[in-house]
Amino acid sequence: MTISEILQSALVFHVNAFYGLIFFFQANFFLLLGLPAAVYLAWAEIRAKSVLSADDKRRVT
Amino acid sequence: MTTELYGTENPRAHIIYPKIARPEELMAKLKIAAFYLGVVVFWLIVASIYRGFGRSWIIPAVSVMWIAGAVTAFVARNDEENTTRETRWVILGFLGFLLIYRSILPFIVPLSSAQMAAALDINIPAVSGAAIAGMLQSVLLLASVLTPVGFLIWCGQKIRQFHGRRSRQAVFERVKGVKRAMRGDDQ
Repeated sequence: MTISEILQSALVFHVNAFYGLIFFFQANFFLLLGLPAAVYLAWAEIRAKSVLSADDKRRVT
Repeated sequence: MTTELYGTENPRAHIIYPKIARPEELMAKLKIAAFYLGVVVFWLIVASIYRGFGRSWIIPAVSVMWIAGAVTAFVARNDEENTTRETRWVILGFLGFLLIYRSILPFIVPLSSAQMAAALDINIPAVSGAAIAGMLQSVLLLASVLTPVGFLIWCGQKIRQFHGRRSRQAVFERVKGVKRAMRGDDQ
């Protein structure tokens, strides 16, 4: 298998995966709204947990 | 004593607020992230099990719950951690109920009216088999609609409570201002 063939198959594979994602989110449009909210909640809870670490802005120095 | 323990360095840097998160703190954060990832994967699995109903109702309903929880956590900052934790547990419970309901139905539905009549020792007409199918559908609709609605109401009361607390603080500030003005030291 030559390098150009590897690149060709990788390109086809990635384009397929990309279109698969597009069709998935087209069919489940509300996931585009729900997933960022879930990520924000995870981030907010992790931030609220880090009371003792150095990057906590609420600590009293 | 501090010199013995920590040498000539500043001991506060070792005792309080280390630069790097401790292993247990890091593990707690990883657990939270893994929990959220698990809930999202579970959400997709349950929605795919329910096929059309999952795509047209479970995914939008749970999306609305995520968004409501995020907005509540963002607005009512004083109770952010509790809001996030309760949001993920409510969503997990909702999805768990839907999965359990779907799993136990195949064991209940094949029972005929005659078998139910024998089990309950009462007279059950043969047409009640169709009524059971309708009831199962109604239970699914009621539970899957009322749980998100109840969660939205809970989020709403939380935001309202937070604003109530803020307006109470504003009233206190106003009263303090009036008292200061009466004393004549309001400059």
